[in-house]
Amino acid sequence: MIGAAKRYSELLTKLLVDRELAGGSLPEEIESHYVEELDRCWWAMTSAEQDEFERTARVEHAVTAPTSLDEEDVTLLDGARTMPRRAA
Amino acid sequence: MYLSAQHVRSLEGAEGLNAFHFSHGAYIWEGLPPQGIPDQDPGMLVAQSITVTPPGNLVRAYLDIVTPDETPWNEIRPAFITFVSEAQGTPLPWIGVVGRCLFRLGMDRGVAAQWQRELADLYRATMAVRVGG
Repeated sequence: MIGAAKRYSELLTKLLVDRELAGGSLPEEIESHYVEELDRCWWAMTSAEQDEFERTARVEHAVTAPTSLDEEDVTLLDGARTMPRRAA
Repeated sequence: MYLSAQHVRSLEGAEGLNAFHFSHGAYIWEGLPPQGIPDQDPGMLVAQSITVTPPGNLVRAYLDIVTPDETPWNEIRPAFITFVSEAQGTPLPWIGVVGRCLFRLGMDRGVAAQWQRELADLYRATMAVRVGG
């Protein structure tokens, strides 16, 4: 995905993350800004790019992660200078 | 400054978020943090919020934010959103620098199924533990 399509995907992620950080909804002016920019990017894409995005969007918004991080936490006292976790 | 939020699970199955605020005081940098920060030099722990008492809890997810102590949230937040938007689509863990903020985000597969909700919870935990807001 290049150009407008890549920008569209990044903007969509920004919107979703920004909403989550705000507790589920954004002020109307911020939401409108995202929507206008998304709309501009969408119509800058070729029809093939639009089709490809619609086909793969569900997959791309999932993430790949390991089954376990293999790390455990540690007890820290105020003033400590060590990391709060280590390899398990 | 090093802020870290960890989603942990105890051996008994209790889950919760623990968060930590380490300070580097007046030590200021631009761009990448100096070598060794945070792994060899996380700074000095000045605050922690514990919901599941360590040690030995399994870490299921974490968010690390490294930036000079003075960095305001209105600089960190857009940098974090940019970090996530650029990393999304690559396998976790994610590591990236935006401006003078270094971010690291890791999750296990079970937590990652709801990754947007999880990263927002972790981010809010780092906000809550930071001394001085």
